[in-house]
Amino acid sequence: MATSEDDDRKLTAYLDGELDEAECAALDARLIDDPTLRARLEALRAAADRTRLAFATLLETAPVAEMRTRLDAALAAAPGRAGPPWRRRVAAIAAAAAIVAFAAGLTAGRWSAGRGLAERDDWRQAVVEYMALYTPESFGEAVSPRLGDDLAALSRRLEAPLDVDRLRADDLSPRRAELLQYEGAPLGQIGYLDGATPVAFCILRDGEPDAALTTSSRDGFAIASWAQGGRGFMLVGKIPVERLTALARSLKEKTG
Amino acid sequence: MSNGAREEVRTGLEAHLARLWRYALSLAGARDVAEDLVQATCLRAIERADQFQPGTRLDRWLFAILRSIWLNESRARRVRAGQGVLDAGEALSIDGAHEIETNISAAQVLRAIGALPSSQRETVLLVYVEGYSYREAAELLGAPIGTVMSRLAAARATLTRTHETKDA
Repeated sequence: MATSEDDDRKLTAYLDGELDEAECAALDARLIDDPTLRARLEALRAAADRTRLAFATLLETAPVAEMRTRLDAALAAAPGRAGPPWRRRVAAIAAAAAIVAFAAGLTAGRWSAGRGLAERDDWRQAVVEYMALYTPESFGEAVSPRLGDDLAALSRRLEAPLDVDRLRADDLSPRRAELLQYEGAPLGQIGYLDGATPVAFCILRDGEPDAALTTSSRDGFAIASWAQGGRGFMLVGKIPVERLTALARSLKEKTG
Repeated sequence: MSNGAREEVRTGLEAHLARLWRYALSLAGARDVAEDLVQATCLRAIERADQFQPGTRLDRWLFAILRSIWLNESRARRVRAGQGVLDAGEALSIDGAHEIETNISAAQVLRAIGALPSSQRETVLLVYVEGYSYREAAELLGAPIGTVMSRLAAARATLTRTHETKDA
């Protein structure tokens, strides 16, 4: 790809909302005229999206119960004192100059670990974990200026007609749209704010069998799930389940 | 130390154990060391609970403690991250690159992330996963904002390349 490192830095800062106004305007102008630069922007955007999803899957392998038990034991034994055993372990590793395989170790842990959820719910779990990292700012102060284009791109990848009108639910309007992926299948995410609470509508084109709308709660999130026409849908947010269900019904009707 | 502050930190940190572990894992690269690091971080946080400013983010404070413990421990043994000894990335080859893959699973992405230089891996986690702004990440890392930007751009470029190679 014929873009320079300097362009990559600019595009990265642009995607991260860290470019100042003048540079942003200059880059916008170049993006309009330069399809190569636009393609590079999309490729770089996808890289960070994949990263977020991958890191989200790590959380479920965290040995939380073990860490909590160990912490309780340490505090019970010597309240307020940090014990030394961990130092020995870090030291042993350092002394041996052990080259540790980051991914090898952790993916072995991940894929061999028992998974509590049915396979078709894996992506939904990943979304919930990803959602836990959102703040109201994640969906922006204002509606994304690229919303129309992004929705058009989502429609193509998901092979489903998506536009602002179809994606209105009650008094909520979409604020931003992103194309993510889950295990190679395109995953569209449309962001809303209900008051100050992020709510996400996600669509995965994975060929899953039709399923009626069901609601559940997980980690403080209300979740509505259904599947239709080879696509899995979910609406998720930390809002009352009745409210979420009503929004989900409305979206299901308009996007089904 | 006020018992109130200690209790507040003690109960508050429970909610952050998984994310602390993930950060520790991306620094240390080994699961058992990550657990040890989290344990040390929690104990130190409780010890120093009176230094926590109520109203600020407990998770960010814990991340800073974890990083400082890791750096001090590494420095003491001249194996500071980036000098290669504990740098998981440099020892890893991207073994999937020549496989014919149509799907990039989370495991493959994690492998590619594992192959990044540790400074890039850490910066990516902080900004893209933990939501640090460039300025906040620069403060925690003790690096200029331009360095944060360069690391992120380089990481995105590498991860893009990995993906394209697998697609080819």
